[in-house]
Parts: sequence; structure tokens; C-alpha cells
Amino acid sequence: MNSSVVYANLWRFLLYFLFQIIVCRRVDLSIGTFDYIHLLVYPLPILMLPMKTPRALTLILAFVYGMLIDGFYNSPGVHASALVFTAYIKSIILRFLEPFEGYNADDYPTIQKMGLGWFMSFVSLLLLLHCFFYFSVEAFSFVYFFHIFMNTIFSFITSMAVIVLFQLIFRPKY
Amino acid sequence: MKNAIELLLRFGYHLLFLAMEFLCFYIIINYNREQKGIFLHSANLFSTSIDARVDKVNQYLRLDMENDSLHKQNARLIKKFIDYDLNSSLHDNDTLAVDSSKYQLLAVDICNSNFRLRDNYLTLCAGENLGITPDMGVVSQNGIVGIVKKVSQNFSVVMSILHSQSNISCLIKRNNSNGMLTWEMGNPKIMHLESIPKHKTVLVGDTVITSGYSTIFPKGIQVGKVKTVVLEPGSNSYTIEVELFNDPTAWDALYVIANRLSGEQKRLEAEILQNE
Repeated sequence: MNSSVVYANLWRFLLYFLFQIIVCRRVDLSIGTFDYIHLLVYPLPILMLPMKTPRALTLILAFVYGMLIDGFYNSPGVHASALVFTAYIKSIILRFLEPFEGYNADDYPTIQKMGLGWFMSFVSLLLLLHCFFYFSVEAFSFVYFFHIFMNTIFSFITSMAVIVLFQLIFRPKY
Repeated sequence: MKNAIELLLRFGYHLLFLAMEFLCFYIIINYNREQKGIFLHSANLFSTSIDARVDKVNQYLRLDMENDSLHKQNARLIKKFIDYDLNSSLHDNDTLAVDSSKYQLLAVDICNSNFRLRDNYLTLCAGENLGITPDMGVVSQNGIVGIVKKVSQNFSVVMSILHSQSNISCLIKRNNSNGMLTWEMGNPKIMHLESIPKHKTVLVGDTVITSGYSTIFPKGIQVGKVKTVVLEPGSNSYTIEVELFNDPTAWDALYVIANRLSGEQKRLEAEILQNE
């Protein structure tokens, strides 16, 4: 594997981590009693790992990274469980979205490589599942289904907007 | 061994995922107060619901015993009512102890029953072994059932009140007018009260009780209520339809009434007849 790919991913982990805990954790997007918007952009580095990354390594990275996020959110295990789930589902979604001729050895899940449509469906599917899982685990009971549902929808929309905006601004190659 | 390694390689990823999620949830439950509370509460709910189910099954299995004991308890209660009626009807007499144990109630189960024929009989699953003898009355919780006719070791046959020969002495509770309760083929819930003279007043809705003029039924067992009253032209007595309180098509728990003093009473009455 090209060392620049590794560095790019490491930097991405670091930057999204910092962005999540410094910015997203602190901004308060509640409007009156409407408190359903939470920015969750931190899963992106996991999603944007190269296609040929070993699946087990993805899981382990997701767990460690999720626990680090949890350390700052003061909710041990909640983000980690959601992120491990997302990492697991990622391999299924990748197979589901596989182009007719299969993936190339040097494919990365970026807009540049796979196109905007592919990228949008890939990230939105996983982010939606991630949000749903995260808010479910946070509530920890489907008694709060309305709460989970609203949180998932609105957090997904805003987080997705931020992620796409970042992609369009920074245009990552890997 | 080779197979085991192959299996691990094949499903290792999924196992790793499950293990990690398990670890995450372990951490969540142990280090988050809110989730821990919900988890403990749910676990508690789960275990109590399991307990409740087990209890329900147990209760169901004990139902037979429960039923039996209730049946016996009912027998005691009905006996108390009869005793009470007996004692309260003897107001002037201060010898209250006319023997409150003149009547005894035996809780019995029903083995066979009929109500569609002209002459109906039912069979009880108890006979001499429980001390049942012919000419004992049989009642249910809501009224009278019939009279024991024949007894064997373990069974007894009861002539139902739904029988052409059934003739039970009854009273209109309101004014003590005496009549005979008979059944005419047809509706098993309707019986006829005959020979109440026309100078008595009978109203629809009057309660009909047993008279206690025989040794079979004690006085005061509620039988039914008057449904229709007709005075046929030229007749000296009313034609009264009585709607039974109990349902002869579905007997539930039955009780045999044993009158301890019936032998004595009968003997005395027979002596008079002989002497005349």
C-alpha cells in the first residue's frame, strides 16, 4: 500500500476526530424545544478507508476510534458500538454497490474515483444506519421510538450536508 | 483441526464483529448510568414476566385441587344458609339448637346428564361410599337439581326436576302460597307451578322457594322467579310459569343434601297412617 494513502487516512482520522470533539460536540443546534440535530461526521474516516483494507482491521479501527470519541462524549461504548456496527455493515454495502466490472485494486471511495452518485448513496446509506444505531443505543429502549426516529432523520440530513460540503471543498484523492 | 481453522477464517470476521459489539454493550451497561438503569429495569421486567408465566402455568396445574376445595367450601356455605333460614324461621322458639346439623351437604361431581328427553336423569360420581342414599335432594348453587333415586357403590342416579314424575313442593316467598313445581316438555329453563288457589295473589317476578314440607329439600332454597301468571277461565288455580335461576342444560357444581332426621320423620308419619 502506498504510504501516502496511509498518511492521508491518518490525517483524515485526526482531523475528523478533532472537528467532531472540538466543533460538533460544542455547537448547539437546538431551536427552542426542537432538539433533534446532532452533527455526527466522525464516521467518515472509517467509511473512506481504501476498499482493500482488511475487514477485521476496519472493525478494530472502528472500535478504537469510537472509544476515543466516547472518551470525549463521556458515554463509554455508545459511539464505539455504533461505529463497529457501521464498519461491519460497510462491507455489505460495498458489495451491494459494486459496479458491474468489480472494484479496481486502486479504488478509493471518493467522489473523484467513484463519482458523486455512488459516493452519495454509499455514504448516505451507511450514515443513516449509523445514526439510527447510535440513537437507538443512546436511548437504549425502543420505548423512545419517536425520539430515536426524529434524531436519526434530522441528524442524518445535517451531518450528510456537512460531509458532502467537506468533500467538495477538500476534494480528497485517496 | 484444519476444519476448525477454515471455519474461523471464514466466520472470524463475523465473530469479531459480534465479540466487539458484545464488548461495547458490556462497557455501555457498566459505565453509563442511564443505560444501566434501563438495562436493569428491562432485565427485571423480563424476569418478572417469566416468573408470572411460570406462576400462571403452576396455577393452571393446581386448578383441579383449587376447584375441589372451592366446591367443598361452597357446600359448607350453602349449609350455613340453610341452617340460618331454618333457625330464623323459628323466631318464637328459643330452642335455637333445633340442631343446626340436621342437614349435611356433600359436594359431588357430575358424571352424566340429560335434559332433552321427557324423563331426564343425571348421574353423580358418588354413591354409598360418600353416604348418599335414595330420596336425598340434589341442589346446585342457584337452585334445585333433582332427587336421588338409586344408589350404587360409586354412583347415584338422580331424577332431574325435568322429569314427568317430578313434583316438588314450593312456595311463593312473598306470601307463602304453596304449590307443586312440575315440568312440561319443552324449554328446560321454564317450569310450572301448579295448584296455587286463585284467592292468593301472584305477581310476575315473585321468588319461588322450596317449602321444606318433605324430608328432601330444606325450606328456603331459591328455585326461580315467576315469569307469567294466567288464570284460566273456570279454573280454580293459576297457571304459573317459573323461570329457573339455574340452567339445567349446564350443571356446574352439585351438592347432595343429607337430612339426618328424615328416617325418624318418615317413621313417625308411617305410624300415624298405620294406626288410622
